[in-house]
Amino acid sequence: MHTPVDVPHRTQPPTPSSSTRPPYRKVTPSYSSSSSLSHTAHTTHSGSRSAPLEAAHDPRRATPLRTPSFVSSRPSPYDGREDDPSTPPGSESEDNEPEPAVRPSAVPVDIHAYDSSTLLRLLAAALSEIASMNTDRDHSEPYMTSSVHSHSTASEPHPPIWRTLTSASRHALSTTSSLAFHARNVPTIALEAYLTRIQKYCPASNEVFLSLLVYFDRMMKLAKETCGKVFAIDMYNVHRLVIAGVTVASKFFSDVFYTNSRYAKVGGLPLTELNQLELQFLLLNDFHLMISQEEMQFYASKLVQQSEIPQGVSLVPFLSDPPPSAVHDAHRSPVGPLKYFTAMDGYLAHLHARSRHLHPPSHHLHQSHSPAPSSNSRSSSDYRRPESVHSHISTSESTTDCDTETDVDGSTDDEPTIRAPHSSASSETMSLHSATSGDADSIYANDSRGEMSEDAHHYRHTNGVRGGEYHHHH
Amino acid sequence: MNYVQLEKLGEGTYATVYKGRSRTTNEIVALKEIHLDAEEGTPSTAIREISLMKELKHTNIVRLYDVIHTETKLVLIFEYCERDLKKYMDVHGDRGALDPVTVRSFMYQLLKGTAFCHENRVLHRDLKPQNLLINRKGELKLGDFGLARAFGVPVNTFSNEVVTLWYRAPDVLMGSRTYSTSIDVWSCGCIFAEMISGVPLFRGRDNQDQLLHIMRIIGTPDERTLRKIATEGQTEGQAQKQYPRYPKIPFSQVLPKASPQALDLLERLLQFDPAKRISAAEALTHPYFTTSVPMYSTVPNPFNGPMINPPYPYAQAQQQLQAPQQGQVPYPNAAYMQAAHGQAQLALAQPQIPGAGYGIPYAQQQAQQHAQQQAQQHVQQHAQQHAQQQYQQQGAR
Repeated sequence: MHTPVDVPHRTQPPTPSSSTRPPYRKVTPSYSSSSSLSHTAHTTHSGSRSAPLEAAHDPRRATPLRTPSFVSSRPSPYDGREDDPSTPPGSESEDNEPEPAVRPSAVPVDIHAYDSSTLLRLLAAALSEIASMNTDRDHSEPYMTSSVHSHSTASEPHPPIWRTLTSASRHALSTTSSLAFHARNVPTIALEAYLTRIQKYCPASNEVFLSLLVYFDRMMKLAKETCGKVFAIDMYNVHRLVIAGVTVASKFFSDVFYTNSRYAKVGGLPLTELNQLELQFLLLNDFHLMISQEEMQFYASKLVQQSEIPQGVSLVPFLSDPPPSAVHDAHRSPVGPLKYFTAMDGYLAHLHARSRHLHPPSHHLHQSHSPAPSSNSRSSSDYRRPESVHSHISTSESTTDCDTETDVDGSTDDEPTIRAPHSSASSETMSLHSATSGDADSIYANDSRGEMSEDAHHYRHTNGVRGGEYHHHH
Repeated sequence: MNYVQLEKLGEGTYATVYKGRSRTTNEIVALKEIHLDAEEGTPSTAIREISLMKELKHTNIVRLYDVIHTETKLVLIFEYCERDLKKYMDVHGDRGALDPVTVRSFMYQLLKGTAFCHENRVLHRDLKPQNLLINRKGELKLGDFGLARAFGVPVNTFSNEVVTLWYRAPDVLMGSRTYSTSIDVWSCGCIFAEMISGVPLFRGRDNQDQLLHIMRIIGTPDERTLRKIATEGQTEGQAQKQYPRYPKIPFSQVLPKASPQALDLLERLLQFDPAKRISAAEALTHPYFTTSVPMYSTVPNPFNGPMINPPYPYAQAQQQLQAPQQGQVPYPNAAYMQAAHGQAQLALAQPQIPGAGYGIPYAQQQAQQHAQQQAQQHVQQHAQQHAQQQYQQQGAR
């Protein structure tokens, strides 16, 4: 859904307008984080965050596993707002706001049964936002290149946690260029299309995709805590992180998974690179792949809640550390899924507070707060970003619409290109663009889960996934 | 690398296991080298083994000390154990059958390790004597977590091609993909019977034959149970199979040597209906563990922690078995200690052929050694290979 701004041949978002977000997001200048704080402050009361955390203390789960990181490490300016999704529905019932649509209750997400394409759309939206927040405004430079300096020097002793890591992970953390995951350019395939493509040719359960968020947070945290290194998801690495993460998570979670050569083809990178990324992904997580039900549920509910954010809203003002004037500040801590969701909570709290104070409960405008991902929020136009050429917001949400868009854009790749800056020459020589739009169709148009039988997945890849279709990047 | 590589202990398709010694502490370890295949990348077995065993720190689970990454391989550093249970039975058993105290000690440790896995939401899915390691202290440890997986959110991506055939639960044999911890409990029951008798309890040739072997002993369950389990199995469009109606054979006939309490526990472990199977944690509180063998209070109760020197003399074991009606006759402390000591020395004097349990096909060594002995050995080997192949195919698909 992010249309990379530096790709000239695209004038429209390449992906379904079913995306909840316009493709390009800017800091809304008129909006300061201090005002957001003042808006939310009065709504705060304590304890509302407790539900998921209490669940984590279920005695039956008395395990030696680490306390889930999300319990202890949340930045907290918005902690404890009353409209936290974990608050039981009844807790606000005395308000003069009966519509349940405004604050969907914290019904646990049935992760297994949740609609996969919706989940992928929300995941793509979240990751795109995060990557965008961590990428400099013009997408001219990866976040990491300027901020990759290790803050710890060799003389500086490592914290105690360092000794608990495997030797392999210690080595990776201290030597790996974090740029391993960086593509040479921002990949042209939008993240949602990329995820959909993966799901189509290498189908995996929802928990595999959800786990990406957990792992990304863990990688950032581990790099920071052990080496003082910054690891950020940005526009340059998010695709490669995703394909490496899906490969790892599928092998860990599922008894059904695929060869790395298949993941590489589907992901649009050479096999040797995927193998390296897979290993790096494991090492940067120190092989910590177990995810408690509570943690998985937390991320699932946050992701689903994201659909409440109207189009065009920037969460940047709600980030816990306010963005400095220079977005691309080397020392700014990058945004990860957790931080992003915290900002989302802040925004939703703010929105909720506003809606209750500025409008009578019956006010019609608030229909837009319904959890429908496509809601076009007029009431929150304050937060609407200036529309760029690329933020082609289609209010009508239909998949056929997006199909045509995709087809109109004849350059849609059969296979995305998420090459590293200096990867092997062999595939760089292959610069085929996708042969026919019919093929492109088969990749992108068929979004409906119902039509994709398991068998179709298995047999299709021989036709649909062809090797060696890369963009020339020279 | 910080370890000196010593002799090779075994080799498998994706890993080779060596004995190793730490350069810094001189500690003996097992080094499992994982070959990183170009097509497959990091093997899923390695990913699971590392990520699960890293978190499972327990006396009765083989400890993963470290992971080292060299250019072309991953090396897993494991706690060293002398041998696996299969080998232990061959060496120490009376035609494979272990004495009752050893059985009880091993069984307790097996259930303890299994319960710990389940508490931590991990299914082992391949419990069998070859994957249980015994060190010279008499500690039993679960090894080879290559088939293991975390469970939590119920998913239908479970494979039913898990667990070596002879230790595979009937619900899994019938195609269930929604199994849970009870799958490991069944395996524990099979191992229990095998330790008592010296031979595997159910030795089927294939899935269907295995199911019949089970039914011939524990009896064909009633229609309702069968239908319930078959429904969970959701076997592809095929009509529900008809099974011969076998009556139940009392375990006391199958295992005449076993004590009534042992038989009662076995009964609860080997329930056809997974819902009726006892949990590993419950099994640990069974009277079999808490009452049957009397001890002076001065003897450290082996069931309060890691069990040291579990064996006690055959003579007394026989006594106890022959005269259970005499009730609980405490045997002399000194004799116990002495006997246990003697047993331990004996254990150390035996030739040691380690190597299995770290996830390599130990059967190859086995077959060589016992080729002339038992044709069943080969059957078992084939069964294992078959199961492994099927699993790999499953993965590759």
